[in-house]
Amino acid sequence: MMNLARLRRSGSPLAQLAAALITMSCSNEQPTEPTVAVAVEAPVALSIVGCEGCRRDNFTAPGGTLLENHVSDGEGAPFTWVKTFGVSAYLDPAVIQNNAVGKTSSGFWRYITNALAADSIEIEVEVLGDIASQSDQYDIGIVLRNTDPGNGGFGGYTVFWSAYGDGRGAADAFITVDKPGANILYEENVPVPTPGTHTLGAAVLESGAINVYVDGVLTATVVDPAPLAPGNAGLNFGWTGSPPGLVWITTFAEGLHQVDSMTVTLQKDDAQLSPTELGSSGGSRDFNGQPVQTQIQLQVSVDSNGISLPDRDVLVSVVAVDSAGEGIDGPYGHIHRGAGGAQKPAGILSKSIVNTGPSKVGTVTYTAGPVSGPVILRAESQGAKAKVDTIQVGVLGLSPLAGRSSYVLVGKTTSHPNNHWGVPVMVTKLNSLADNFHAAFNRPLYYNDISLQLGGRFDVDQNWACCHDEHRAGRDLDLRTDGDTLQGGLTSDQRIFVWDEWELLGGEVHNERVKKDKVTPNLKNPHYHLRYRRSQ
Amino acid sequence: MRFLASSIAVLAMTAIMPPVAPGQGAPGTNLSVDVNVSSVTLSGDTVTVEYVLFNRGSSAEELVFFTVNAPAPPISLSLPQPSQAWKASTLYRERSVARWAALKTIPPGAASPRISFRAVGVPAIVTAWYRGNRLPTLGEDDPEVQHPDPETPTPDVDPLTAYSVPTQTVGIEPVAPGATPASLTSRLETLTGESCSLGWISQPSLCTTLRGHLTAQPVRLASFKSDLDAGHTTSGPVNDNAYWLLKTNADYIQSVVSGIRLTYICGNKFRVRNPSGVTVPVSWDVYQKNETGSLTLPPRATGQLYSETFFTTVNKGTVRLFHEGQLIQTKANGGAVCP
Repeated sequence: MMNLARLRRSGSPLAQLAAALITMSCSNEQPTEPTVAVAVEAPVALSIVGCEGCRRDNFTAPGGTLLENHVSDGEGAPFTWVKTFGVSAYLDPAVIQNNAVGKTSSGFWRYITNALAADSIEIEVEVLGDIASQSDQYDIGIVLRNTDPGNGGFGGYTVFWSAYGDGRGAADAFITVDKPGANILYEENVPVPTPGTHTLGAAVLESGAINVYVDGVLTATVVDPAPLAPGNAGLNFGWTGSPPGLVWITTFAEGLHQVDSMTVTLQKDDAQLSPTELGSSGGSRDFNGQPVQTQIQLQVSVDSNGISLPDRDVLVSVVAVDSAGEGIDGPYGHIHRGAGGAQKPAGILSKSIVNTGPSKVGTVTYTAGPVSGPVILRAESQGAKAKVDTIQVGVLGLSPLAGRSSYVLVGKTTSHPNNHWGVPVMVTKLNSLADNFHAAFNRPLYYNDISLQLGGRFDVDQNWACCHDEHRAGRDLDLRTDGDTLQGGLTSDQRIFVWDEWELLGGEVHNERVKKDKVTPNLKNPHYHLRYRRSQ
Repeated sequence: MRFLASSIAVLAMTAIMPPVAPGQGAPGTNLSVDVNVSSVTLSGDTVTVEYVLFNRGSSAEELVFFTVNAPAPPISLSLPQPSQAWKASTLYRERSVARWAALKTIPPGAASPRISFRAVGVPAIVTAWYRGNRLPTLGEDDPEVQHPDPETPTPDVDPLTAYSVPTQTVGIEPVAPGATPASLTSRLETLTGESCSLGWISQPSLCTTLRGHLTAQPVRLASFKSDLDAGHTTSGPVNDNAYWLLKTNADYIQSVVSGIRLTYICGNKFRVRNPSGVTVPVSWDVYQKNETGSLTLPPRATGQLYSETFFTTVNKGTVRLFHEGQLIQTKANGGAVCP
């Protein structure tokens, strides 16, 4: 029995035909004319809720009407059914009885619509009795994207809901997804349908994935790497056993499931995110009373028709926006791409694949990178519409040094044209320093880099790495000390004045006129490095 | 004369030796400087302390900064000539100080000109810091050095304590609220002991003698000053720091009492004025009338020249005013009729 079932579910038309013939042979059934089986209690058709604007067929017709002679009687444009399989004497036609279509004796048929159909179909199935009580097998199928009715009628995807009983109280049920010329795409056990009304739905998503719904619940998602082109929809029916048949199709409807209804959702903390590696530059501070942090929690879920799905793998990735400042990364001040092809650091995700698990929500931690800027977060799951979000990483609350006669701003480059942004207290202190110096010597100070307008690693060499260790949080400034006095060079007593004044204002001075050994002159860029680490 | 004698001696005298050997310590600490108090002068309740700094020849760094902790906020700081070569400050990161920056640095083997500051208070032993002409270096833009972990916070370093050599010297502190001549004398005794501990008075027997003057009843301030002065010679046991510290405090205590003025008003009414910032308990009697009383003279209020206390005797006669049993003033009853 099971071998026969497997053969039928292999998807090949020839296999199905062979299975049908074998079944007929074994059961020794004879072809009969369509009749109303007295013992059959044909179900009352039930409308499927939610089908608006779609085409549907409630199979409302006089008893004994062959399906190919029936015009759809539900909503939407009328259509007819084209028989593609079931032409042999052994194969009973589809018969309408009591506003349901099925079979009155053992056999197989397959019909497709006469018009291009939607990519989602749902049928309502009435089970009249206990499947396990009879030694029968049923293969109820939905056909999607059938473009080849002339080739045996087995083109397209077929989603089978198969149930088997042994007549002694045991039963089995499967969902399979077949594709012509391919192995079975999917096969998994499902609960044996109980007596009553059930629905089987299937939808081909935009991604090419095929969703299968049993009783409205997403039961399977099958990814076809080579999706079929849109085509006609159809019905498949198989029954091997003895009358009366227990399964009838009461409604056929298109478009019940949005093809993109399964989406990944992404939620993130509302916290302001600052870049990492700010410690040596004075650290991040609260902004407008809100805590600033370098990590946020991301919650991902996969929803289908508003229902979160358990045990779904979600692939999460993050990419730093690097458009040389021409896009949304413009305000961050890096008007360059990574020199030498260096990749802009995007930050780190605690894991790249997160499973929604039984709670239906997966959690992943994002840790910002050292470079300020927007990063694109993407979460995707098989068969679901991906979710993309943007995370802004930066040091907020920095202010620019405004124009002032007591200092000259230098160090601006095309790569980093806004290099004089500091925390407000730093700006205030630098104003005081320059004003006091100007009052004493009647000349301006030359201020080089502080920080970029949204802070973060200040890569002087445009490679996202080198060379300012500090200057990341608006609390450091490089002061020109050497060279022509008309261009910012300072005399020894002027340097001491600056040194003293900056300390009096609460800062620290580091002498970068020499190298780390404190002896070798720094010929490349001699300067004083002015730190300010106090809160006020 | 005193300065000439002491300045020669002081330049060879160690105030406090630096804690590190020159050239091996933190930047700014590789020098040894003699901090000499060349004079302390008292003018009313204002004290002026004057220093001469000598950067020893063994120093590895030029002297740039000298900072004196100033519990009594400085009123003024002197700027040696040429003034453009000096920068003075009274606040260092919210800390009250007297601070000088020698824009023209003082090399090893050279002494500074006299520098001084003035404040309302009394001389005290305070912390001072001197600092050499060397700054820390990060090398942050040097690709050849190993860079620190940028996540490691850089603390808010106080350069005054991190990159300076601390020492003890004479400064100025406010008169403690509620101070009396007795408490000031007790404080002077403590300062004497500390001066001995610091080695500013090198002769233990003199230390004992000096403290004995201050614990005697009545206190022997004149003897204290006489013995102090005797020890303050070129090779004597009292160095400039101790001398100026202790002498000026003794002068101050004496001035508190000597400044009190008793005045007859009218009838049997008298007035006592106290121009000091110190509370002075006094007693009085009416000579040969067997009538006595006591008064607590409050310190003068801020902005006032003195405090005034009035009292009236029962008997008509000459009033005598005493402090700690010592007669300090007499005033006859003038017999005037009060209006």
